[in-house]
Amino acid sequence: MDLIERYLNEVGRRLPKSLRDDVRRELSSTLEDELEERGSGNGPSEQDVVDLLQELGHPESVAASYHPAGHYLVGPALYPSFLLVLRISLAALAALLTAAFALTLLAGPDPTGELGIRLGGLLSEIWDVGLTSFAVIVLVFAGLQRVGGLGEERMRPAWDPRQLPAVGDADLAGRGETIFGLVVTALFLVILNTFRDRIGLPVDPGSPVLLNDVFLDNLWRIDAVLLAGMGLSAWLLWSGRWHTATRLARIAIDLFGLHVAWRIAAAVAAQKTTLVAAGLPDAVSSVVTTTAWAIPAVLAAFLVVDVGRVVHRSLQGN
Amino acid sequence: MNDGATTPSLADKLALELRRGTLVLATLSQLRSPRYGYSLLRRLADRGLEIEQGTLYPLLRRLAEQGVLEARWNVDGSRPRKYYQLSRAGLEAMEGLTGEWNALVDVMTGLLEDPQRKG
Repeated sequence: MDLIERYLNEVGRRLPKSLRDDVRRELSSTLEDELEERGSGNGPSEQDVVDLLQELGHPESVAASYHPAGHYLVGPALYPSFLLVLRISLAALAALLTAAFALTLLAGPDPTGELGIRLGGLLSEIWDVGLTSFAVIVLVFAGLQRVGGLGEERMRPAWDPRQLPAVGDADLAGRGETIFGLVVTALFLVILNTFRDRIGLPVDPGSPVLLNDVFLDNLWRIDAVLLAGMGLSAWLLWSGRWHTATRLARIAIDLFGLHVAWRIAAAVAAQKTTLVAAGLPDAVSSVVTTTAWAIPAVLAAFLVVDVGRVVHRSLQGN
Repeated sequence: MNDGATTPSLADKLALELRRGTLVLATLSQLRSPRYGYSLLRRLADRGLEIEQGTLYPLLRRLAEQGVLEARWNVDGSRPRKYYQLSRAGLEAMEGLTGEWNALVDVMTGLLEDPQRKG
């Protein structure tokens, strides 16, 4: 019975793996018992199934009932995603700060001078940025818990089980990965605009940091790409599904991002001789310019994938 | 669990809170012998206690996790069913709760019969 399978799938999606199979199995058994009791000799009609599922409640409500009651800053439903985002973000930040520190050392006139003090400074920066990042992540998830209503049962108008997505629906927007993308982008935006001096990026036009002009000239474009991406993620989180319009929006954001990355890579490549003249070893400046070109290459690959998805869905008649 | 558009009245909400406090004891009282969730639901309803599936099943799971109930799947019947029964600890807990309930009924009866309440 397709409606029941779709319903059970939606409930299961919102449960931790440890509960999923057992709860689905038990719910399935209960639904069959109930339908057997209600059905006529010909078996339950679709309307019988719809009525029963509506009485049982929206999948989100049913899944939420398996979480312990209580008030949370970040509730049980969101907690696994919160931990995942926290671990990956803090690890990535530590790696980024360490890489920026290494580059600064190599570019400087005396790489090993006062190394102990400078390492202490690195640890202090990791601590400061890490603490702020933790606060940002907690705030975002607390907001999702309360304002977005993602962590708790929502009062909702009457819903139709026939509108539930099919099992294995390719247009379903995965909640975990969408939340992850949203939080990481928010974090990146905060660091880029508030703590960029900590990761070796320019603060103002007079800064002596390398590639000063390249970064500052393109900062507003980078912010625009990140904000557009966050807006799309927020919409997907609310709607739960990809549509043609959101896929096209994804492609438009990819294109703009590719344009910005290309501009930056071209500007960095144009400044290679300046980097070498400033004392950066030739090998390191080559790594910098290669990395700068790698970013638009990766974005182009994402763009190809997203365009491919739209074409594929169009050919399927969706 | 009904997700219809009507909002419960204040009296309904308070009544729900009152009933919520009795659910654990009511559930335990019917599980001296093994029952699966749906049959327990029907048994409680037949005895005057309507409880929603969305309330009962999570409660049974929680009580099983706490060791108050023993749970096992039975695949012998027409469909697999998860049966619940009081554990030894659950039996002791139920007897304790029954004593608490009887004491509470006496207290509440006294409070509700208090001449001062009737003005």
